[in-house]
Amino acid sequence: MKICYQDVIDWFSTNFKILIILEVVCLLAAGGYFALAPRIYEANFSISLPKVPAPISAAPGAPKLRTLISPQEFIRPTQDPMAYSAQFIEQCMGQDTNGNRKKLINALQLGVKQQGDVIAFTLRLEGSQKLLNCANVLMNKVLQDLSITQDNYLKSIVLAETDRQNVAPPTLVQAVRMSDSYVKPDLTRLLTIAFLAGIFLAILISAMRKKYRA
Amino acid sequence: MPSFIRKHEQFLLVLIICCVIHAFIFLRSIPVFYLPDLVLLVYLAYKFKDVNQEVSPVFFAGLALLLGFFLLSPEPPQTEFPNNYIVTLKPFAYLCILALYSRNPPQIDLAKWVRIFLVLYPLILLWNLAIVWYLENASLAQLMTRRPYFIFENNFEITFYLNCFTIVFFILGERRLRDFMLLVAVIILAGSRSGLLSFAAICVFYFFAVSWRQKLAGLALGLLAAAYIGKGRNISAPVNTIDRVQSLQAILSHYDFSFMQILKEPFGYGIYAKVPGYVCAKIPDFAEWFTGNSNNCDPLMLQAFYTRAMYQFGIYIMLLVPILFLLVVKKEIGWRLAIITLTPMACVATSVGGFSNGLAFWGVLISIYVYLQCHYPRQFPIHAPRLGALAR
Repeated sequence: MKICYQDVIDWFSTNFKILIILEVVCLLAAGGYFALAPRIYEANFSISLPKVPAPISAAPGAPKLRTLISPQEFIRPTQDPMAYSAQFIEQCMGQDTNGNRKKLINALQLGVKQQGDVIAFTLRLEGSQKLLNCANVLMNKVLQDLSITQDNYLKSIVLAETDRQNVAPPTLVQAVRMSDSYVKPDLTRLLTIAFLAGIFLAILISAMRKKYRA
Repeated sequence: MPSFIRKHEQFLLVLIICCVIHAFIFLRSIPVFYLPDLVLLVYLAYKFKDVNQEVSPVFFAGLALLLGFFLLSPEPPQTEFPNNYIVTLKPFAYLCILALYSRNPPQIDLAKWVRIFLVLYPLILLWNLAIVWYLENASLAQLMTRRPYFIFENNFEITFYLNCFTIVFFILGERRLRDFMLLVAVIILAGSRSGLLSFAAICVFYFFAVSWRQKLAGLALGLLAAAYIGKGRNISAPVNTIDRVQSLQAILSHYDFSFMQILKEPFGYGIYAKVPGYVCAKIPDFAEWFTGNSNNCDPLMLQAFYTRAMYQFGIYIMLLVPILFLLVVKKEIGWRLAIITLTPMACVATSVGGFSNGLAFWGVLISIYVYLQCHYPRQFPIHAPRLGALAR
């Protein structure tokens, strides 16, 4: 495709009106969406994975503890929409529907922090109070599940009494922290998209007009 | 002596001006990191009226990648500092610029300025060492082990210098041993390991292009540079003590060192994602170095373009970027010269930004412009007779 300065200037002078109209339409649409879109808030918290005695090693400086499950072993089942009880989904999302289960999973971001032993949770949902409740419920559920997993493991193996004391239960590293304000819709991003959409639509329409005018 | 000064009057004038500017930046610590991009923006605005060319489809690929990563990357949590994602997006912007401005050279004789720079730059590095000698009363032995202060960064400057060398040697076809000796002097003075890698890659093309006599001389000089830097930068140290290797290993550990895991992230983690906390904790100094906060794990801390791009864009886009650059440059100057021109940038991307660096991009852009001015003088005429005198 050939592009030259004169063509660009000619295009602007020929299509200036339609460009302005489309820009205004797109920006108004973005403004309308911004006014009507639900406000999505964000909650963050992090939890350390439980640790159990590591296999005895003669190597100097070998760690005495290891995480009971790896971050991936934790993250994979957590991202299963069917891994949550109906009561939990109702508390978080209002109704226990398949759609809400998937919505919850899509609203949840999991990261790994510190030495690979801390899971960071980021939850984005509509309404700050609803989100705060959901984040607290999720946090308690995770802590409880991890404690049960650790207890079951410790019951299943034979450990010396000293080793039985030498375990680290799952702990709350960072309590639930809400975002200062809503994180979505993001006005700057929305206006950027609207501005670009206006330009692309104007190019598309001018090309169509040129092609089909005859 | 007076005749020498008279003959090279204007060159000496440029040298003095450059040395004064360099000393000013050195002594006042003026931030100039974005200066190449600023100059590029000014040039784009100035030459916009002359845009008139067949634009490669790569322009649209670059634009799509730029907008796609900017708009569709997952948003970061509000509790984290924002990334410096402008730097991350620069390769895509450069692709668009290259496709749109590749046949839009300035009307000054770039070849002559490039020749001037080839001689000028080693003198500026020596001037820098002279300032250090004056300020710190350093001995010759200290000066030999010390790396000069660079206006931008050693890897960026070496890449640009290598591009200037490839312009004179391969594009203009002036195969002088003097220029190769200057290049070796710069590599030695800079003491850059990545620069040595780029230099070694360029040497391969050099050896294919010169006579036996120059081959032997070049080999001796190349070995001298390698030995000097090898001793000065402790090149025999274990590979995993090199900072770039450490960051690569750290990010590979996130993928469990599994190629399949890397392939499973086709578009990476996006431009807003931090380096995972536990990976960042393995190399804490890097985050502090780049952002001033060891908890702000901006992927810029990974330094090398390939490492960073693999994490942020995914392996497919990481590989696509050099290929797209090659396609655009090849369209203008052919396969062979395109490969030679992009070699310094591709090599230095193992260590620093490479494809996201403004100075390296200028090296590629100038290479294309010089080629056009040299091979199509009627289409791309030069109108600056007074500047020509500088090249004497």
